[in-house]
Amino acid sequence: MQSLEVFDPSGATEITQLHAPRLDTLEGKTVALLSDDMWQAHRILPLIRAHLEETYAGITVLSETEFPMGNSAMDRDETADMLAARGVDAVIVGNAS
Amino acid sequence: MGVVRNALAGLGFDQDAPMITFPIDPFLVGSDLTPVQERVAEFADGLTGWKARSDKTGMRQPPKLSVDANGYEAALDKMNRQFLMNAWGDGLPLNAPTEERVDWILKGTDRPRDSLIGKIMPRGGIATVETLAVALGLAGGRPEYLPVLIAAMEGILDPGLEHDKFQATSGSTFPVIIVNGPIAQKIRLNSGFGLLGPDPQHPAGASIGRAIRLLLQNVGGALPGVGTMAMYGGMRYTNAVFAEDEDGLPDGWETVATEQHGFPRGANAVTVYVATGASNVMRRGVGKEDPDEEAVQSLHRVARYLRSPSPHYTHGWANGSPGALLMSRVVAKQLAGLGWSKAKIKQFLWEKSSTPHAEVCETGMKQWIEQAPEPATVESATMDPWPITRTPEQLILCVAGGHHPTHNFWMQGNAPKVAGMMIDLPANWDALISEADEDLGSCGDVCAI
Repeated sequence: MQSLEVFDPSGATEITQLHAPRLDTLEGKTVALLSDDMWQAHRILPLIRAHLEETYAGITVLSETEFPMGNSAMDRDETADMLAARGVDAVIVGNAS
Repeated sequence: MGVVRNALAGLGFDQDAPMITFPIDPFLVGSDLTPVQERVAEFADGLTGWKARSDKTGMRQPPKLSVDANGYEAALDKMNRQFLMNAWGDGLPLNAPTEERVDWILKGTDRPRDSLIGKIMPRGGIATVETLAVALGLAGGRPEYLPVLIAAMEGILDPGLEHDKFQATSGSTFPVIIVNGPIAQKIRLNSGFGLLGPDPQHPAGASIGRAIRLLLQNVGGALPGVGTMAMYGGMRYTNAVFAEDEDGLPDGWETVATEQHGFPRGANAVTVYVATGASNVMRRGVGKEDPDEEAVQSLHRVARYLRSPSPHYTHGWANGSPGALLMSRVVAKQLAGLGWSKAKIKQFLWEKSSTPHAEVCETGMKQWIEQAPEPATVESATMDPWPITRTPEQLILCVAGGHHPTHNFWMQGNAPKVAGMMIDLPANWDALISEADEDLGSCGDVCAI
């Protein structure tokens, strides 16, 4: 019997961040939409916005057009700072394909 | 789904997220959004009811694998099957990355094996010198290739190259590594005939490039259709790793490493950019033209290839490159003899590859230019004609290829930056090269292995 001991080629990974706790409800909360401006996000995100506004009392949905759009722009620290400054409770990001 | 999971892992989260997935149809232009409308309530669930599967931070270091079978060959076969089932291979046979093989490869550097190279996105796997040696061992590499692989991976991970994006994109991007300096000949890296393909006299480029692909896939998560959406994946078995034909440079022509990064002639260095296509350009005339006429006609023909409505040009327009044109020493010397300097050739190609504004609009390029991340690129949308890059100097002109006059080779870029890295050699370099000569035969101007 031959035994080969070999390295796993996928390397190490590190979990440095945990997901934020979920909200108990969306009523009265502020939710922001962020867009990479691709894959019909300009049509799909407004659908989600309309649904949230119709369903949850007191919710404020900030449109994706109020924040930088595009793969690079949405990924910058300044964008995160803008979200914090607007006091958002949650963010929905789209779209990937 | 894999793209998002990889992206999260790359950001330091577990490979887990609340997301709503659909077939590709709703994401296409003019699509029917009914499937999204029917599930729109699920988006809210992701913000309230979803539970993450991991509640602990920390390193995840995978253990070594043990493969048992009746004899070495059976064990190697079994290992290859297991690697494929783990989605680690490329379909071609792999060498076993044993401690012995990896230690041998590590003779190619003085850096500690746990020395960090970087996180390879989108999965965010951590690449160390040892990880690179494992990949090179898998790919049939040798220790004297390791210095080039280290420099190449550091170049690929230069933030300016935005490797997270080229890894995940649907464009079939691949890194191009151009090597300058005496190391190229020492390690049998091709700069001549068939430099982008297999050549048993010059095996280094295939192994180094294959190791890069294995790293981008196994560590970086660029698995087709899961972590990379590259629709065709061309040039990805070995990417493009080759040397500039420095001995063939006409008098006064600088190397790519000097032109792009200011590295002195004779320094060992890599130039790294990202390409998205590769085209052979038949540039020679029928042979009955006046030499000057043939030169100009051939450059016009090349310029037509460059002048394509490629939205990828917008990524490199401001600070990167539209791509690299490979030109054999025969053509370079012909042109130089007719008074064409490198700068003059680039200027000509830049001017003749510019696109009239009407055509920019007709092909939808204007929208892509206006959507580019760099303000300078956005402002260029009204230029008439629109040049494929901000300045002629950004075009890479590399003297390389078989000693023959008929063709050029164009590797169009998707390149927000052209990275340059010096190559560090270990203290035992001469001994390594002697061992390689012993193993493979002496490597002179013409290798005979």
